[in-house]
Amino acid sequence: MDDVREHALANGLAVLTREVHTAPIATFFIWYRVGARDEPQGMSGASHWVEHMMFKRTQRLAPGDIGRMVEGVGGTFNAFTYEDATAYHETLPAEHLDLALEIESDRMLNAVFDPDDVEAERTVIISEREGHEASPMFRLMEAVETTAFRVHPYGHGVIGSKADLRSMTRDDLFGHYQRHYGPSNAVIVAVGDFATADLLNRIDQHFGAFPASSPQSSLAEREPAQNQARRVEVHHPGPFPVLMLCHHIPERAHKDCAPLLVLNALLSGPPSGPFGGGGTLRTSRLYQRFVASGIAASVGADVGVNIDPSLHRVVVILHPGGEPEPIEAAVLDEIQRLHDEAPSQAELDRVVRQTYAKRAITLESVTAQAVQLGMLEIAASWRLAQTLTDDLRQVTPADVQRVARAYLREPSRVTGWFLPAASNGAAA
Amino acid sequence: MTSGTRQAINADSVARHTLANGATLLVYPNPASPSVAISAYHAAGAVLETREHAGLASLTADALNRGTANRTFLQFSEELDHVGASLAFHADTEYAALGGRALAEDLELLLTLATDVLAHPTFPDDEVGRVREQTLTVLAHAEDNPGSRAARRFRELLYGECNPNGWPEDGYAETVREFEAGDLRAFHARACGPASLVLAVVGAVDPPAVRDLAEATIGAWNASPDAATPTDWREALDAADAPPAMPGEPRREDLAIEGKTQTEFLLGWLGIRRTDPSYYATIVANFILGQLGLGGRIGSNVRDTQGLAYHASSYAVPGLTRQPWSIRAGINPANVDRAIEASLHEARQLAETPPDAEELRLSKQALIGSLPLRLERNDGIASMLLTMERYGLGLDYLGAYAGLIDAVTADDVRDVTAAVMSDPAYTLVTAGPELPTS
Repeated sequence: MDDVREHALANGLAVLTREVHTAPIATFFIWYRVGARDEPQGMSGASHWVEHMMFKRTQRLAPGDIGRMVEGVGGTFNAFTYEDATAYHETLPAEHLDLALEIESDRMLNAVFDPDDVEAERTVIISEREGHEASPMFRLMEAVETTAFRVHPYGHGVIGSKADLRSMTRDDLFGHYQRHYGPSNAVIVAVGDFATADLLNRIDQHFGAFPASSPQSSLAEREPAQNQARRVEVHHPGPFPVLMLCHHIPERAHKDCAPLLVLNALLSGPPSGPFGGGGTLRTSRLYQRFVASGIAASVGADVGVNIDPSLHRVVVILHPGGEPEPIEAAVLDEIQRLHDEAPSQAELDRVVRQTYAKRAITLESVTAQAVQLGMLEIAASWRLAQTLTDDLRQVTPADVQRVARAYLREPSRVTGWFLPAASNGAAA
Repeated sequence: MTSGTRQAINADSVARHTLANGATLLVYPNPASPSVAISAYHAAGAVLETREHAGLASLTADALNRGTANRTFLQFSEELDHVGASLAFHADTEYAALGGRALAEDLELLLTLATDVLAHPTFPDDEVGRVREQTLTVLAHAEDNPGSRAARRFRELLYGECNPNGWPEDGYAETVREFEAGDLRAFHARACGPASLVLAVVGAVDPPAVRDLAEATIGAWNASPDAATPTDWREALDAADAPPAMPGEPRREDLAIEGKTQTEFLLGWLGIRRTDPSYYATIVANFILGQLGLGGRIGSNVRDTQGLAYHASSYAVPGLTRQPWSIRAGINPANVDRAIEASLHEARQLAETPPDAEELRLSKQALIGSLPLRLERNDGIASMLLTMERYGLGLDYLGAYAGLIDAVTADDVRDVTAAVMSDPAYTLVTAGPELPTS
């Protein structure tokens, strides 16, 4: 992804732009460096709740106004929160891009957090959480994260615990907003059909007068090294067993991330999606071992793209009634294979070719480009989006074997199982 | 900076051609991207299966690439994965479809593989067994998931169990479990043929070269002599479009699923065909009712004002046959009846009173202005070309689209809503934890 330009306003607001003139549209993202990792004890889910409140009232806007403004010109809008950041975005017909600047500059500092709105949104968010609870994968992921991270807030999940969602107050949320929303803690990413110099002028008009915000030191404490394998089982009514077998890996900025991405491409598929993940290829090692052989229904693996050390995950969905033990043994066998045998250079060349092609297709949309630039900038640097294919090309077979032995090892393993059970916890 | 010359999508820029075997080819060159997208549909949908074989069209499509006269499933996958390409097959109630992505230089590979799979599938027993097991796992998940469970039962109630619109595209565990490779081979021979196939190719391609390539690949596919003709398929479609028996009063079922904390409900009526002249008024009405902003009037009432739900919205499904117009939401079990009442209130309100001018203007502008966003990617354009062909909209449809939407009046919105939603005989299914006794 070439031709990205980097700018900064005097108040610290970072801006990344990329002109793309293939369709008359443009996307505007603003990323705040606040997510689950910035939430103190008792406030799990605060960042996500603040995200919801940003669609309510500002000093200028009433609930529903943002939807009417953006959709009224044919645009789309939304927001998402994850461990490291909260992002807001509008994709618009290019001539209406100023609407995004108006909306985002307004709610950067002027959200009101009306107490009645906060209370109405409390039940909405609890409802969102209860919707997630229908999924075995959500229940398992929550249990695995809690088991893997005992100190670091990556252990408490993005949506938050029900207890915290019930007890957090309007002032807790407003304080969280005031601490983390401001120009010095934000990154704008704009991609599409605009002239950069002109857009920068307009960004400066909308955001340039805001005073610099004080940089927030993260609450996130480093997770102590895990020296012994951990295990967690979720027994709950559900359709089939699911295995989530994880290992602690370093942060996205670490030099070992590229060989880990190659390792993961061998297991599952190349890092092609805007979030850095990708689908499972049918010729991948895990698909062949589990799905092509018929012993499981589906399989995937991914590498965390995070500021702090996170997890490499292998997820296997079994057929209903499937036996857990042989599946877990087979995953460990595939990991042992990575320890024992360096991959061939031909396999690595293939990963590079696949990554190039998949990214060319996935990144066709301006929105996907902005997501990738922003996510990498939050986790490490947007430049990784430019160098990704080259970084993977530099990885040697010995590098892959080295990172397999260094990270996918027994003491740093967290094994999670979702096991269908009757509602009383007995095996179903 | 990325740029490229892209023409308006219309009869001048889209090349339409009938191949030697009767298949239709649509090509739109888009030099702005290094990739290509192919999309196609053909008349091998579930309308050609029976209730006893519910899910056969879908399983046949899913197993189509699992082995051909020329390559194994692994060889097929290796050829695609080697160049980072993808090619997938699917069937719904009306049609079977395929979609592929690759770098433009690999278009020949995509068309060669697509043709091999469509024309020469062998349905090896072991591979069919694996696809069947995967489908059974998907069905187990659908039974456990409140949203899917409600949607499946809603269609059964709305259309009755003898109509292919009423049974799930992927069938039932009890029907799928019985399918053998021979069933799939027979369905393929009967249902799949090039006469009904429409193929769209969009990307950095040269239309005359694509035409030659398509003639040499898809154009060389000849159907089995016993294959259903487009007339047979049309008759099956018409049968599926026969009006279902209406009960004259509301129907409601509450499905309990163990271990869930949230209830999903689906409330709806039989809507109109995509080809109905009132279609454009219907999509404007649906946008007002359940889309604008975060779920339109329903979202505003149920989510924003009452704080009852994370998601609440409405959908008017397009189809050649009459499809549902429905409202769905995910609600805490204690609040289900309040949310249903609020949804019905909003539907009745729109059926009685035309929207105000500003709401109408915003909704129309949203539908018109979002068109470029839907046409940003090659696969989006390919999908639009197939929609234009499927519903006989013509290659100049996109130029006419804004006028079609703009012509919708406030009274039109009220009238189309009233025609569907003022019928007291709605169909309602809830799924989730046991509901509290009201």
